[in-house]
Amino acid sequence: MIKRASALIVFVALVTGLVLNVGPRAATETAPIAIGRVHEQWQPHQGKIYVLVIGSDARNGNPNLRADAIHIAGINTDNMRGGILNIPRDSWVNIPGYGSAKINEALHLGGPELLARTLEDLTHIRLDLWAVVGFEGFQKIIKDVGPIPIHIRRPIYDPGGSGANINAGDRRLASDDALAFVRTRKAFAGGDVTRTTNQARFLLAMLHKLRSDVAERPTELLKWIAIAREHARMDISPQEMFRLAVITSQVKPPDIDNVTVPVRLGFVGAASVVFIRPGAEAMYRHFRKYASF
Amino acid sequence: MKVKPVQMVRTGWGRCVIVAILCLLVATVACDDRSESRVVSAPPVETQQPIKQAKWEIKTHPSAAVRQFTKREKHRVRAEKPKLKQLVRDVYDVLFLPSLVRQQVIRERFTPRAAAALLASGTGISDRLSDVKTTLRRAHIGIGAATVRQAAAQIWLHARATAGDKKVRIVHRSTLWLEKTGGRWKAIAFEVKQRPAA
Repeated sequence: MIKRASALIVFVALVTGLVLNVGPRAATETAPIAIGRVHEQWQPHQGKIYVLVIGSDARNGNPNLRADAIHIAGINTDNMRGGILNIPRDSWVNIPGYGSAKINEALHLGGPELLARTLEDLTHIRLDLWAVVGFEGFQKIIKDVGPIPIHIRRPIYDPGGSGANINAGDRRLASDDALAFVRTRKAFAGGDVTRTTNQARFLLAMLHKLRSDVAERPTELLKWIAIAREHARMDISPQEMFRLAVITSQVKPPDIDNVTVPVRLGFVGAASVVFIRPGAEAMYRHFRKYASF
Repeated sequence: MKVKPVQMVRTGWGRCVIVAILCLLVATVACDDRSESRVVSAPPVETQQPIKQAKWEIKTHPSAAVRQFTKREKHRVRAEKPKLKQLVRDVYDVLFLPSLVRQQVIRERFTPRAAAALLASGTGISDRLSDVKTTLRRAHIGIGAATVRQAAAQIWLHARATAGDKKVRIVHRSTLWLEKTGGRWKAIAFEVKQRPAA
């Protein structure tokens, strides 16, 4: 399923900050947002940058982190095009060292590094950075950057799940509604697959806002970076973050493809899972080669 | 991290955007350090065709999240203001001067890749123009208050010139992305819109 849309590294670009030498696991546990390197050397290959964006269900009273949202965002700086590859959280994959399991277990088992390794094994894409955003961090960012304009295709009502109650049409989602939108799953026939696509749409909407803010006043980029810095811990330098943010702010949302991995529903024992279809291989290959679709 | 500069020519901006360039540079710290190691003092700006320049209007301000600035941040930002203003003046004082003078200053004030991209962009004035006179020179510079090592500048230049017996009006807008490394500010990336191009 390929849809025009999205862009996401904004999330990462959103986030900038101090160089704190904390382990990734520690970072995710102590900061609402954490960013780190997947490998010691961050050396994007042939102008392509790949960032793993993880939305975790981290919140007060929930110490067992699991990934609710898993996206690989790529930007090709040679042509300033990009893509977001969305991986449903219930995808049944091999987790290195642990065997087959739902992919969202990887975050709990070994932090963002293990999730990154799992995805590298699956897609053969060398990831550069990871970013983990919990409920709290997500809300704080939206509160500080302001409501995000987005088009809602159908009314969303999910009182028993995410709490979403959002009318269709052009909306500006503030922090609570934004969180409800990216969490809503049960209100959609497509369940988690629709949710993961919506999450990428929301990232695109954020990129759109970043671009319009920066086009009007370039110094807004510094504000976005500062906001992220307030809420994030990261092990990349402010200089690297600034450059990544500059690049991100120059990518047009229509030049980023929003693609969700094709899956089929199934069961492993009593657990409901999704199996990634063989057609995904070609998708990975293309994304690896061009950072877009 | 090293990424090739990207150039982009747009066709919008009213009916006649002649040139618009975006150059993005992402280089490793090591690469930057190398470029910084050959810092020399700014070359004297002399031109065989002095032009009448409008007075500069430069505003600087700290840029941060929604919270208040601390005294320390304000102090650090204040210390960087003159350097950033000088960078903008250095670059744009020569933008409409002959190419040799322009090259010297741009190479001094931009990272090597950004300088090469700007010089190849057609920004500036054509040799066929004479009687160049800038009528507006305005800049807004935002300085990241948290680290005071990143800044963004938005610049507006208007100029009049003569091409043969025709009067030409030049409108230039640009954004500079600035970074301080090795104790010196440099433009790492830029975006330019100018009509007409050189």
